[in-house]
Amino acid sequence: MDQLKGIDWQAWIFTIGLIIFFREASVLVMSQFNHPELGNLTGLLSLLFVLVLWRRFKKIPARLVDTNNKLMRESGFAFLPICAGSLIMLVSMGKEIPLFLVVMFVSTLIPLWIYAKMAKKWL
Amino acid sequence: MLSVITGFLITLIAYLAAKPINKRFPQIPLLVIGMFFVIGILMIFKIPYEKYNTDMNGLFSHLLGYVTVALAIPLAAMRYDDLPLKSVVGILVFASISAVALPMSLAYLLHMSEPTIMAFATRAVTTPIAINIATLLHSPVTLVILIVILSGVIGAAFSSIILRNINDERASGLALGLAAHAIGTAQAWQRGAVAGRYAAFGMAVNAVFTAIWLPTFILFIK
Repeated sequence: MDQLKGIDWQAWIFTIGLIIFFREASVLVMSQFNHPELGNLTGLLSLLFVLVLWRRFKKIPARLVDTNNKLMRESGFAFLPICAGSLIMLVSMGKEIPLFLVVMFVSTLIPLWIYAKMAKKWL
Repeated sequence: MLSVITGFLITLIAYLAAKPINKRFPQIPLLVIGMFFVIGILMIFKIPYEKYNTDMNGLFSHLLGYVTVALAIPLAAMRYDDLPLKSVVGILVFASISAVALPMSLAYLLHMSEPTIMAFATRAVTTPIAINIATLLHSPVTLVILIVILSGVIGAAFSSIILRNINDERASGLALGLAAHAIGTAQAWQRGAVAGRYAAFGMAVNAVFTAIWLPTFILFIK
């Protein structure tokens, strides 16, 4: 009960409402241009634009950032069904699996290490 | 409606069950444990993945959209004045070009078919951008989605091993966002807020930059 009382409901409702509004509005606008698949990216860019504009005059509220950090920590949940699907689809590739995996592993893990090394040195 | 609720509950149970295991073995990403749980529960209840995916598609495509849009908040809250601009641009350009060139060259050297080689061009960009690029390059969309998701899963799954000596959350986060896009970014948030913010930055900038130069380049050489 105390845990429930400790939740900043106002911040949660505002943060989730803001995200839903920008995403749905962007999908609606992009659907008018026959590119609804670009709605997510447009939503990201338009919310970013509004927040950067806000930041020029006022600080971004810490409650918004904190609540969003908590949301982002659980964002992996949204990827679970497609991740499970990718594993199943991979298994169904049959003979091509080894070659396909070689390309996937080499081209993901080597760059990951190189980018991290570069970023550690240069940032 | 009932099947959507069932599917959602399966995903939620899998995610919640994965949490204590991830706490016990933090080197195995939550997502990897979770997806095995999803497959396990589907097998126990004999639910075909295709049915589960069809039921979940609408709801989870919305959730994925919200996760993408939510990245704007950490990006806007990030401090850019202490970022060395030249170095960041250098890393981003290198990452964007190498993420296309390396998998395509490997696929070519291993004598893979032309559509597969073209599909590998989208390896390091987030799914919505990858689908658009795939359409422009006439590569198979299902294969493109598999490549994008699998590269994210591989990057996230092995990040704790590959990045164990990095000891810099900014560098680890940026590398995860660049190499393993949205799934890597979700994994970076598990490492911490700083890594998460840098991953979001890397993923978003890489996606936009690649979406501009790659189709232009391919159309130019064609």
